[in-house]
Amino acid sequence: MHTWIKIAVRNLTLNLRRSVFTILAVAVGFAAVNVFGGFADYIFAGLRDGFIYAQGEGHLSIFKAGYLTEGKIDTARFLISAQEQTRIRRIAARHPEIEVVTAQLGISGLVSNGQISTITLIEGRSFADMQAMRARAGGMVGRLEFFTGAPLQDDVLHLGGLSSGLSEKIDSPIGSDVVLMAPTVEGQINALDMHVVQNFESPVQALNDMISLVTLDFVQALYDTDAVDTFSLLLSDTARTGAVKTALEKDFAADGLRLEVQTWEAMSPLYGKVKQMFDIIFAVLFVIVLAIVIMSIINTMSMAVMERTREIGTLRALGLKRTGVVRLFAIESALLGLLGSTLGALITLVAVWGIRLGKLSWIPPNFTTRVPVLVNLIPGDMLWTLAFMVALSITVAILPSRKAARMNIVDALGHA
Amino acid sequence: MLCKGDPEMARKLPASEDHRASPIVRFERVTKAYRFGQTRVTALRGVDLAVDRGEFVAIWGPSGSGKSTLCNLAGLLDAPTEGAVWLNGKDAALYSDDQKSRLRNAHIGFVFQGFNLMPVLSALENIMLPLQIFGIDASAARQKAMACLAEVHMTPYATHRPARLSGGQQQRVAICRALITNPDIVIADEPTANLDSAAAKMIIDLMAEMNATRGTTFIFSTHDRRVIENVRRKVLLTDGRIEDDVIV
Repeated sequence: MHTWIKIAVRNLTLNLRRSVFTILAVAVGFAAVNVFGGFADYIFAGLRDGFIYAQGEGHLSIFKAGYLTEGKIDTARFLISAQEQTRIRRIAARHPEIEVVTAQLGISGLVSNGQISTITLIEGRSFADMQAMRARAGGMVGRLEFFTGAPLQDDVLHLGGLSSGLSEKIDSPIGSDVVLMAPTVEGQINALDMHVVQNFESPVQALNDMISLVTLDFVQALYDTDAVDTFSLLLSDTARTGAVKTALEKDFAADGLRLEVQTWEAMSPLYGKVKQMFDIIFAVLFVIVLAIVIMSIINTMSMAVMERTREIGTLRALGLKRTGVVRLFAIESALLGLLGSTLGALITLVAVWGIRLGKLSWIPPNFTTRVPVLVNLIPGDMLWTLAFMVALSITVAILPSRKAARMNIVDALGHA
Repeated sequence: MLCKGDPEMARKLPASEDHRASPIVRFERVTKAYRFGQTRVTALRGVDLAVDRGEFVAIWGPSGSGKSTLCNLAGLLDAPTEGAVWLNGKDAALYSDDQKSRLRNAHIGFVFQGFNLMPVLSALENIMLPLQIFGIDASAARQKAMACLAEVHMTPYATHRPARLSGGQQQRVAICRALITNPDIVIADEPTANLDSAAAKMIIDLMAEMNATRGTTFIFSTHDRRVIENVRRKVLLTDGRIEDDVIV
């Protein structure tokens, strides 16, 4: 094998300019795929972590069966009672992968500063649980500031936050007092005072002038219930989401609880849509890169085979089998793929570091604040691309070399 | 002794039971025609010829007489259109392409008019090539190739690539490459055509020595008087037919 590698290397250096251009084509293709792949991965991770950790929605959401289809119209019918909450927490405690279990209740109502009133979505959360979830966020989400002002506390009922748009809309900055009004479970109007201590950005731009964030106790008092509408579970490992969902569904059914469990992917349609869009762009890019790489290698190998037809005839006369001829050119092509991919990996590293050093920023979908532009380095994908490029190079070389290997030896020897 | 070759490769050609009695190469009513578009050109017309072991034969005649075609068929590089080529008593048509490759590698040596050395390999590496195709490890192949180079006084040029060698030097390397496997037959197609007189004489003497000491069969295709005068059998081909067959 050493001899054939030596011949392949020397033939590549003999036609150095042609080899360099082919290696560059492979390298640029490799880098394009991996830089874009790394950027897409960074975006996916941001969307995923934003939903799971920053918004505190966790990996799994638990609702009363039917809540997602009919609960928005008649919330009261689909609330999870206090007794059911205890049973859910007991079942969740059996699964060591579940790190945080938190309940939430959201209702719609009005917010007023005494002069201006507007519609608001009142979200009641446990801030200790939300803090626990956010503390586990890594990457881009881990570096984000979630609010301006003071943190909310579960044990101080009247403190709350307004989304920045809502705060502006009703002219109620941090430090001001507002009144939140909503119908109770029984349908009577109820109102509670809230002191604004923080502003935050809604993850959805359209809702940035609508959200009031309060403690779970506050919203339960306003709604006059001890029930909640959702449980959010944070897992230690995102990859275990499906398995834990299945296990919980079984446990709930066995306990007689009519609940449905949804994964973060199902509850975050934006993630799916953005991923789908990036996948399509990636597929188009990949096809273009593939075409360029294939055409470059085919051109190089076809030229090599044509120029060395007489050499092929000599090797066949010396006793090299047809498979040996194919192997010789396959090694040559594989080296092109390998060198191109190695150079491509270096270009990818330089591009990733360059982007980091450039400290670029942008506002991605589902975000209202600027975040840094980064490209994730994914060694697994780079190795996969390398293997693919080498395999592709070998496959592409087989066609012309197989044809040459099947040539009549006398014709090959007589080739000018 | 010139280029002892490799004992691992010194197996006899696969043959019929009475191979000792049969010629090493026999042509039986061999016709070879080529087709160029609509035109059919017949290079050999019903040739009958037998070459025994140890012979030193020149196939000679004018250009286009079919000399090279005959050599190509003897070297299993091509197949006849009609008739049969028998190699050591066995019809060559019965061999698969891979079997023919193995036979060429281990038992047939080739010397070409244009030397046909691999341009990216040194003189030494070119000589090692048939052994490495056979599967012999590089160090053993290198040792044998160096010995062979020494025999043809080419040791100082071992690391030189063909482009840096003269025609005579290249042909000496090509002969070493042909002999390194200790073949039963060497097919030499116009081996001296591109050489000056001194180089041609050295090449002819080299092959004559190999024939005399090893008993290797040599079949030349040539119209070079210098070769024809040194062989022991002269087969004259004209228009694809044997016109004369003289043993000196």
